[in-house]
Amino acid sequence: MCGLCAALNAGRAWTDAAGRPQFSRAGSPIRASDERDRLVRLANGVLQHYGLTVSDWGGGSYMVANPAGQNENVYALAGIWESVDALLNGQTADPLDEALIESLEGLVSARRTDA
Amino acid sequence: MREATILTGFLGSGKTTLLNRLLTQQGFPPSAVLVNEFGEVGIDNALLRFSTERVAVLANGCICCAVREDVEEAVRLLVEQETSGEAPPFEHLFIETSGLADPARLIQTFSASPVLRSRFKLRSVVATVDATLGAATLNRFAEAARQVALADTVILTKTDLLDAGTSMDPLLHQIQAVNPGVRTTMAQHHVPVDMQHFLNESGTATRDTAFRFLRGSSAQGRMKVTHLLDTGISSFCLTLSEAIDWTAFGIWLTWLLHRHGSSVLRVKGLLKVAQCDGPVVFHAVQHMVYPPEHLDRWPTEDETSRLVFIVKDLDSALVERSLRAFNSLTTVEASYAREWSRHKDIGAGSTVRGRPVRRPSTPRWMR
Repeated sequence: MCGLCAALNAGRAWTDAAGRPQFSRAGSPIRASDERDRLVRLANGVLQHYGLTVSDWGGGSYMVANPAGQNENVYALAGIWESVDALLNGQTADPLDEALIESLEGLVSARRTDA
Repeated sequence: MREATILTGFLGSGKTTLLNRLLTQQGFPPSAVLVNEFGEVGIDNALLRFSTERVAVLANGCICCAVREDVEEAVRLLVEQETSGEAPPFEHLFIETSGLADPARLIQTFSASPVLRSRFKLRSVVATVDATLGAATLNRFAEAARQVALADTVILTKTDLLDAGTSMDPLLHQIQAVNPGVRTTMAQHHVPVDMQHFLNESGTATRDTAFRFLRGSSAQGRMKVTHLLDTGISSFCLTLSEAIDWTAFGIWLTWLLHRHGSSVLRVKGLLKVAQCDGPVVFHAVQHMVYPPEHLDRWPTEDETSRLVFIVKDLDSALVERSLRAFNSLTTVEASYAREWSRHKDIGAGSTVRGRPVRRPSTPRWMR
């Protein structure tokens, strides 16, 4: 997502559960910081396949970085994917990539076996 | 905020005739009409503007910035004229697309354009289908199939031209194949058009659709993929008995729409969300995702998530596998928490996807 869109849409996204009374975790309302932590964790779990990392940037935006040290700051979850494309320098990241799906399935089965 | 309805349909499917009938019907709110092309049939009794398709993408913008600039400009003019008293006030805005137009870009314009977003709420998308030629048209022309796929309501027109005794079941079946659970109705001569199809909220239509779809389908059934000949469009329904994690789903869907947004025509259904007590009605049209609607109870005893996808040239099995893989990641999330919560230390000596990472060396002049 470009900077202008992200800035205009930075308010509320359909993915946000925090602040919505219908969503809860273990009986308690979901806090924005907890939700961002989980989002970062899961996004890192997925993007490690491409060697990228996501981190929370001061609770207001996300920082996407590649191994070469290049990084991009984005305001919303939807903006992360635009940065992922930019930071992969011509490679394509795709949620329907069979290699990615296999690696996620592998991660899950590995931990289940350990358990 | 005023409301808007998009009226779409293939060439000659009777959009303008239907609109004319509707606008002259008693009780319909005063409306402005924006027509995408000069039709053969004129529209009376309404504030009327024409536009020619012109799409603008903001500099350095992504696909979600693509707005129909012509529509934005025409709506701005309509409002200006109304404000200055040159045109009568109106409560409802109709946008009639051209027969070959893709309504998706128009729907997107309602969410991306500040001019439209601040003044109008998109109520519903209505598509007309010619009862006599619709079956062949849907099979042959991807544009027609896309219009039906993106509609909240499909209205069958020209039903009076059908031979007596001709069944409309095959056509209705085909429409349901393109857009499972979509509301269908018939426009009949001398019978007033049901205004609710145009004024009902999209979300309401989706909830009704989800309920109808759930009642008519079996949760135990395997994923059934329906393909339309020659158009590349197919629809399928994913069934998940395990609860869907909202954060994982958000990550997955925003990425899917970013990468394959133009191929994902519509996603709709009822979800069993791990973080919610009741079911969640979900509805997305290409890049536009409507706010999720929470229900108190399930429409049937069966509490499994069902998501209908209407896609173009996408592998349904891969979509299902991908969603399951993303969702199951949450089951092992706790054990990976330390690795995933912080930056990975990627430095000299480590490898990324099999390639060695070299730390940049200090330039000679700095040593």
